[in-house]
Amino acid sequence: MIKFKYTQFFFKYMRVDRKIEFVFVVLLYLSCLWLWSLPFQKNSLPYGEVDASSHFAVADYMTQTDKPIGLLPYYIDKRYGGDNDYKNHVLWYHPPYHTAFSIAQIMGGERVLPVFLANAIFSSIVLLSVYFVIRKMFGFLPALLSGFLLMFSMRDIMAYLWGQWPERMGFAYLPLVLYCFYKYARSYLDKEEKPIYIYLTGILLAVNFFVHPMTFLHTAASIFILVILLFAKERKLFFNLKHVSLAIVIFLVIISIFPLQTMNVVVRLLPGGKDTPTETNRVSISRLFMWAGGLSAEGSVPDSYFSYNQMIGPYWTMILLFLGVFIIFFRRNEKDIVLISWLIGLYFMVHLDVIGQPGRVHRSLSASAQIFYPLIVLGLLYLLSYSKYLGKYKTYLKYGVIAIFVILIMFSSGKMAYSQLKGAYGGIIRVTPYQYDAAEWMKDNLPRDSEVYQFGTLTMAKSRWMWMLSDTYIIYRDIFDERDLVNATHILMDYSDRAAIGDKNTVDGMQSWEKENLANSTLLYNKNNIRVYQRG
Amino acid sequence: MVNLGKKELGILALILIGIFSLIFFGFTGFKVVIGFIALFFLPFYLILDNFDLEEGEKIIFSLFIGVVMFPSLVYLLGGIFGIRISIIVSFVVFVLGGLMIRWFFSRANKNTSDDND
Repeated sequence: MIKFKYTQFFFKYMRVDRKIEFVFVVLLYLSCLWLWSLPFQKNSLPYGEVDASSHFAVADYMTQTDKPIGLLPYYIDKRYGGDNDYKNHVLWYHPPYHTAFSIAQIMGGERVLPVFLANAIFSSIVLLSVYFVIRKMFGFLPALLSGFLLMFSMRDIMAYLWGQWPERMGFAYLPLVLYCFYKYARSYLDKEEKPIYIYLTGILLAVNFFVHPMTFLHTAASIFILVILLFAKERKLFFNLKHVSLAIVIFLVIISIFPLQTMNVVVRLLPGGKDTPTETNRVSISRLFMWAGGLSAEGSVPDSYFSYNQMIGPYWTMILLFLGVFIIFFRRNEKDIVLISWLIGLYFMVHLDVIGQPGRVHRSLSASAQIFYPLIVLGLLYLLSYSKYLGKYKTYLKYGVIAIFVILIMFSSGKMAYSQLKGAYGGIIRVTPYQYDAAEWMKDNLPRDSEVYQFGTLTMAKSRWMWMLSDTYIIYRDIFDERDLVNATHILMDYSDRAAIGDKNTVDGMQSWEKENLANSTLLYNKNNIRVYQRG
Repeated sequence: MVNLGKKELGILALILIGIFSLIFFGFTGFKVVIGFIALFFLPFYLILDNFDLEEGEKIIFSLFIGVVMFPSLVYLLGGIFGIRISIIVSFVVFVLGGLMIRWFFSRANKNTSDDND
């Protein structure tokens, strides 16, 4: 019989003073925050894809008006007016996440940096929740190594850079909810009931729901699996119905605070809703035997997004991952069952395309690293448990291997993460100071119901940022169509990007169009190769 | 080695975080980070400190609950007071909530021990 001795190993050799550990964790998290904040440390102009600008816009509107956003203002409504399926034209997300950004803007006294800093903090706190849960269940060293690996999780980093911001934070709640539920069940089985843990489960689930409904579904799936597995193991009830009922009431009361947004989620999940499975979206059952294989996001993410090597870590870590999975399934103690539930819940969410669930699977995939890394670490430490046969050299070998592991990760995943974050949205890929100034001018000078047709800006994401920064509806198309001009009250001729990349053809084309069509229009703004006309 | 208590350790962490924020994000970043700790963490720590939880649990749960529940109240009160004033009102509400729970628990404990006497 295989004996798993590595738990003793942690406690014997890694008994760290709680106070020193606290400082360690603070330093680990600050290192992560330093790394993840690289994109805006030197250049605090906004960046990200279209989702990023939408999150900014909601918060920014509240800061500017000093009022909570309910009904969407004209410029936000033009794009997101239909996103709340329960009641059109009202806020489609639960408001706390964006209100937190607004609080950041108010505290910081600036418009852009506080939002990006708050986002970096929120997106990276998954490191703290994973550290905490692994620390409580498996000890200091597995927690420290898992947290260290999470700093370099490329899929998390990419989604964070692109703009799936609330989703990043939402995944951080899953391990905490599982932990609270486990602690309650354990206390019940030990006949020392601690209902506070089941109440915290209800509160954290509701909070998770507010941050991002999809991540809530991940948590709910894992909790469901945990209940089944604990029941299968204990073969008796492990909860007091009164406590669980009260936790459910707490959950329902909290989520009813924002009924319009909660109902939006409900409506989407009801039969016929946008997020319900359909026959046409169903993929081959062979997907069940793959993780990211067979997935496609139809160009919305690069191919590398589905690669283990480029997203999770070097291929050799896959051996440790399989070993970690083997250990928890073989041993199946209660703490392992928590990890098994987490893993199966994620497996279920990543394979929803098999039952025809549209569109969300590749986003669920971005929750892989949070469970894969602890499993990789468990696999590594299991291997190291065999070093006891090496007599007096065992300690050197253990720490030597861990040091090599850390160095290898630093020079593979760490290096990749650093260069990705350091070079993120460099140059004219992000909004330039010229464009930012033009957007600010439009915010201060154009009527709020203006419709601006934009020429020349390099990408749709940048155009969307100018839209949200200027509080003005901006129409941007990759291919020019005269019909889009029908309702345009203003024309924005942005030569700045094209001049910077030396795109003479486009500049010439824009200039001749400007001469032909805007001769009778009033030039309102003309700075840094950007012009705004009021149509005559 | 210097023997640090809970309070001293908290202050040390706050100093580390404060210096870090100031260096990398300037005074704006410093205000945001310290503001988050003051608004999102402290009131909820004050509340959870009244319950039978381990120290690490209190810290983590305060942070993860506070970061959402505090803005929720700010949003709800924002329609009446405006967002800026609501930040202050929400802070006062949650801190008072924490103090009231503490007062309630200490009174309940006192009554129990009086009954036992």
